[in-house]
Amino acid sequence: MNIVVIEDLTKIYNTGMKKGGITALDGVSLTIEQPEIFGLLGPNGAGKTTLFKTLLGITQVTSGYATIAGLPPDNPRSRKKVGYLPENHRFPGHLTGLGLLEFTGRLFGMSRRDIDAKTEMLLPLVGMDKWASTKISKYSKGMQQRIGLAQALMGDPEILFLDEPTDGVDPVGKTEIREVLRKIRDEGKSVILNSHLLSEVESAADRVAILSHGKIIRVGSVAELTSRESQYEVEADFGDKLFDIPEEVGKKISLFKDRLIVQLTDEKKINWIIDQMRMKKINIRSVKPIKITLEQSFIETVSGKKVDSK
Amino acid sequence: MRGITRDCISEMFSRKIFWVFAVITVLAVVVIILSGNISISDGSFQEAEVDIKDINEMIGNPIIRVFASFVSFLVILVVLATAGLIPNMFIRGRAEYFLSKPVSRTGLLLNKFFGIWFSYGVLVVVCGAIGYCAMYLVHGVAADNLIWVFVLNLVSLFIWLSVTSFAGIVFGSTTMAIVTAALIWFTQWLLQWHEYYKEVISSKAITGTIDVLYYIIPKTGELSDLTVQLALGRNVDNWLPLYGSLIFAIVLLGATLAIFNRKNY
Repeated sequence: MNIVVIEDLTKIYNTGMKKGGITALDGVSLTIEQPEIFGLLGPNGAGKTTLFKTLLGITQVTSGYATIAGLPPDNPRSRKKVGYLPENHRFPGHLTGLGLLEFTGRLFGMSRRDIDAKTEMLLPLVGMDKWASTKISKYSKGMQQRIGLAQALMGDPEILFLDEPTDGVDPVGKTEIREVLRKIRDEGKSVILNSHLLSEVESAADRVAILSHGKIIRVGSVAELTSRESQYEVEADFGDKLFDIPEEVGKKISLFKDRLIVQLTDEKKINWIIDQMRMKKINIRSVKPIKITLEQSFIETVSGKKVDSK
Repeated sequence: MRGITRDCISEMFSRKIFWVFAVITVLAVVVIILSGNISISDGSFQEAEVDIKDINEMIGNPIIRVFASFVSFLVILVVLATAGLIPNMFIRGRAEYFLSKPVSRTGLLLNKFFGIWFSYGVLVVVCGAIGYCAMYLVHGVAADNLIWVFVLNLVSLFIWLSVTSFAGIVFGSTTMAIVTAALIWFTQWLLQWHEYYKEVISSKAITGTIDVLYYIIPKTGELSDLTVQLALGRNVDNWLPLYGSLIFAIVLLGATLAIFNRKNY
C-alpha cells in the first residue's frame, strides 16, 4: 500500500527578485510504501525540506499532485495520521516537555485519557521521563530532539516525517532513535527520514531517494544503491595460473596479490569466471559483489564522478 | 478550541509582562485612592449664576475619568505585550510545528486570535475590577454605567489585535506589528479633526480622501471619548466610532485569514 503518492510535483518560490522565481522542486514523482523507512538524501538546497513542507501543507504546491493516505496536503485531515519533526525546530519555550506533548495531543483532538496514556508511554521511550517537568527552553539540543520525536509520535501516526532527527543527539541517543524507528516500521508504519548522516540512513532505511536541484535523480533499495553494478572481488591463490577474460564476459579492473576485481557484462558471467578458476584448479577463498557505502554512492550520483571503493 | 486558548493563558502567566500588569494595577489603585471624588454642591457656587447640573455635566467625575484612563492604558499595554504572539507563532521552526497538525489554518489563527483576546481581556477585566473595587471602597463610586468601560475597552482590544495580527502575518515581525499599530493610531488621531481640515484645505480631492480615510480607519480615540461619556451616564448620539471601527477590525481579520491561508512557511 502506498501511503504517500507524489506525481510531477513542482514548487516555485516567487522571490520578486529573480524572474520566474526559484524552482525548489521540479517534477518530483515518488511513492512511499507502508511499512518502510525511506531515506531522502540530497545536497544542501536540493529541495528535501521543501518536499516535506509541500506534503504537509506548510508550503503551497505550484503544480502537480500529492496525497497522504489518499488526501491532498491542503486538507487538514491528511495530517491526522502524520507525525513531523522539523529541522531546527523551536517548540513554544513556555511549555515543559510534558506540556508540549499534552498540547500536541489537544491539537490532534485527543481525549484527556488518551493524552495521559500516550505521554506515559512516549516519555520513557525517548528517555525524557526525568525531564518532563522542565521547560523546553532549558533543554539541550539533544533533549529537544528527543522531545521533538515524542511530539511527532503523539498522534499515533501512520507516517512519520523526520528532518535531521539525530542532529545534536549523542551516539547512545542515536542508536536509541534508530531502534525507535525500526520499532515503528515493525508496527506497520512508515518513516521518511531526511538526514545528512548517510551512514545513519544506510543503517536505518529500506529505500532511498537522492534529490538534486529539485529533481529525484535516483531511487532504490539501500542494497541497490550501494552495490557497484556487476563488479566482483575474487580472492584466490592465483599463483601463475592467470587467465584472460574475453570481452563478452567482461574485463579485469585490477589484480593485486590474490585479489582480482572484475567488471562483468552481466551478473551471471561470474559463473564463467568461477568455472575457469575451477578448471585451472585455483583455490577460491571468496567471491563477493563490490559494495560501496551509501555516502560514496551519493557522491557519485550527485557529482557524476566515480569514487574509489577503497 | 483544541487547547490553544489554554495555551495562551499558560503563555501569559509564564511571561514577565504579567507582573507588569500587577505593578500597574497597584499603582492605579494608589492613584485612585489619592484622586478626589468631585461632586459639586450648591454651596460651592452660591454667588455665581451657574447651574450646578451643567458644571457636573461638563467636567464629569474625575475619578471615573481616572478609572477609564487606567483601563484604556491596560489595553495599550496588552497591545504592546501581545503584538509579538502571532508572528512568534509562525517563526521558522515553530510554524512547521503548528501547521503540520490536523487543524485548518483558519482554525489555528482564529483560535490563537481569540485565545489572546480572551486571556488578556480577562486580565484587563481583573485588573480593572481591582481598580473598581478601590474606587468603590474609598470613594463610594459604583455606577452601573462603568460596565461600558470594560465592554468598550474589550472592543478596542479586539480592534487593535486585528491590526497587530494582520501586520504580524504579513510582515512576520513583532516590530512591524507595533509600528503598524502606532501608525494607525497616529492616523486616526490626525483624522479626528477631519472636519476642520475642510476649512484650511481647498482641494476637494484631498478633503475627500481625508473623509474616506476617516471612515475606513478605526476611530479608537473617539471610541475612548465615547467610553467616558457612557461611563459618566451621558447620552451618545454618534455610534460611528464603535461600529465603524468594528467593521474595520472584522474586514482586516478576514484579510489576515485570506493572506495566511495562501502564505508559504
